Amino acid sequence: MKKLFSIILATLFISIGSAKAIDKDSNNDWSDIDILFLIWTAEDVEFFVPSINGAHDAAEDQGISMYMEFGDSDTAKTNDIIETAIANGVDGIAMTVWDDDAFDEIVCKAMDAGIPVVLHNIDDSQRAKGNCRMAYIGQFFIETGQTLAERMISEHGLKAGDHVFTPVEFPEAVYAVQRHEGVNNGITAMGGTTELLGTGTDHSEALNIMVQYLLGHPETDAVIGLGSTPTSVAVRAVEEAGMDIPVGGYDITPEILDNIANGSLTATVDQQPYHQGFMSVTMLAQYLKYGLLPADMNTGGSGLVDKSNVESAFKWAGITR
Amino acid sequence: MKNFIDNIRSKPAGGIILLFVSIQIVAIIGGLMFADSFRYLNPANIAVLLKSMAPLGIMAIGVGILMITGEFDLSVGTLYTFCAIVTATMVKEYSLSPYLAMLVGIIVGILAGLVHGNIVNKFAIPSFIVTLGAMLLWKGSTLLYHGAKSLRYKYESESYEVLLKGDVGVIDASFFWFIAVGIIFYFLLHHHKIGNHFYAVGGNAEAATAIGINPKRVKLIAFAIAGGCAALSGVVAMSRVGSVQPGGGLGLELEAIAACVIGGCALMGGRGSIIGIMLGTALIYTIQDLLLLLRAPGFYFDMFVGSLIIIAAITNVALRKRL
Repeated sequence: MKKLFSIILATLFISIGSAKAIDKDSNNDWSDIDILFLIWTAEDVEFFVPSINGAHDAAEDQGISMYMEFGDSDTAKTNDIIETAIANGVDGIAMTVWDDDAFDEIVCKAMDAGIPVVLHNIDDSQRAKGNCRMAYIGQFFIETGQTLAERMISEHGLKAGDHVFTPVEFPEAVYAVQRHEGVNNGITAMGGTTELLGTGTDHSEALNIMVQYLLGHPETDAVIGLGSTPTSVAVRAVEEAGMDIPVGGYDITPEILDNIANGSLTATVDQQPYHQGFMSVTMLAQYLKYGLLPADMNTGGSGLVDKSNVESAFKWAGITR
Repeated sequence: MKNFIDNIRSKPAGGIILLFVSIQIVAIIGGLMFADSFRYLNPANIAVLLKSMAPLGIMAIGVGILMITGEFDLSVGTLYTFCAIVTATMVKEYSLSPYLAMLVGIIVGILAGLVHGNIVNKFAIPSFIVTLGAMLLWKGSTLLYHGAKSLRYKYESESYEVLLKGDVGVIDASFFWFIAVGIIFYFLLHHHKIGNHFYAVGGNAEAATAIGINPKRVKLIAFAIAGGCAALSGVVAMSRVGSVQPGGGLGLELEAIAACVIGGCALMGGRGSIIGIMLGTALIYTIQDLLLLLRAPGFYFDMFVGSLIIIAAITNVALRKRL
């Protein structure tokens, strides 16, 4: 009897403790808060799976309502979705500014209508000066590019005159331009050169074009993939071109993690998309609930995934990483 | 020599044959003269050039046959991904042999083509519209069936390694699949009565009906071939890279149509050849390869490829018209 009483008491304490830790206003019903979480690409982009998981987890934790839309990489469609959301009286918007000019007006219009906008994944290249948004939750592309370049230089002894191939899915996209700027800053600072090449997102097509580039540029000393597609196939491309040069890159896919584990890929920059979804929705919810102001957040910081920490990435890849 | 060239030019794919051979001669001479700086004849380059052609080439053969009957299928790009994912899940989740799974994937592609063809026939809706809708349908179906995560596809089997991933010298297994599909459909299109029916229906459907051909049945067969080729193309591409991405394939339908048009297929139907389609595909990848070997600026690369594809198509038409 005494033992049973102890168990009940312990359970009660744990329950009370947990409830306090999770939610200090659990008596309030916030389900009438409605947030739009807008993904800028189509729904079939693997990268956003953790981001969507993060947004759902945040909405559940905060007890709010959230709905999701996809912009299909189309500026007009994205503007239409936001316009409709404003007309429908949505309470907050989490979206991406992947074009420096296309969303300036609509974001200001939302903010003017009293609808807070928090960006995730990609920011205006001028950051807060270029857009009316409240905050940006995502990777700081230029800084991470430079970090990755410096890692490749220090680990592989790249030197003045060396050439680094920097393939990316869409060379014109803001993320590509800024990541390339960061990598290029690091490489040119030591006297080397870089070159961009568009690969698209089809792995088979990307592999072909990267092998052909390497055959046409045998002086290439390293490959730094600026997106998940080129990084996923980069090791294979180097092998098929009959070369033996170091490879680094961005993002996490099963192929990238396998290559890090077997030592054929030096390191990858993980921008932690789960955090981008989770924090953008959480910050919007807490602003709408309590007036807590959203602030910029560099997801992933300047940390790299390499052989020393690849195991945890393996475990949670595609879920929260 | 002039008679020989005129003789080639008079063939259905004469223009593209002359163009392709001319480009190859120039490239080979360049490769021999500047072996160090222009590595066209490097075995690794020849290998990747042949590998790269196979998926688009197989898809383009199906698309081209459908174009000869006067119809389009814009869904082949997303169907390519859907069928590859079906094949991979059959192996991974249902433990089917990769060959049986491949057959399942191809049957799904054929059935999809039959559905498209039936809708076009039954409701007299342009195939452009029906397959535009189908493109989105298969894209969404891929997500419904598998989700947005990429799918690894590795099968440890000696015969599989040889038949789908092996090579003979610089020739990859995928290229043999491309050639095999080309040979089969060459005989079907040029040496079988159904081939004549394809041309007849695409050239003048009413005249074809008058001589006892059933245009609806013929188009249905062409749609099924396009679907089956798209599925095989997806499986071949997936086997090459060892994974399949749910977002992949979109845009390949336009590249396949471009390969067919460069190869001499008429957009309105009634004209085209298997050799032309295969060389049209080969020409697209040769242009891409030559530009990369010649160090075209990477940032503007698509501009050069696009311009040269247009020039190739114009040259092909000009060569044919000089007859």
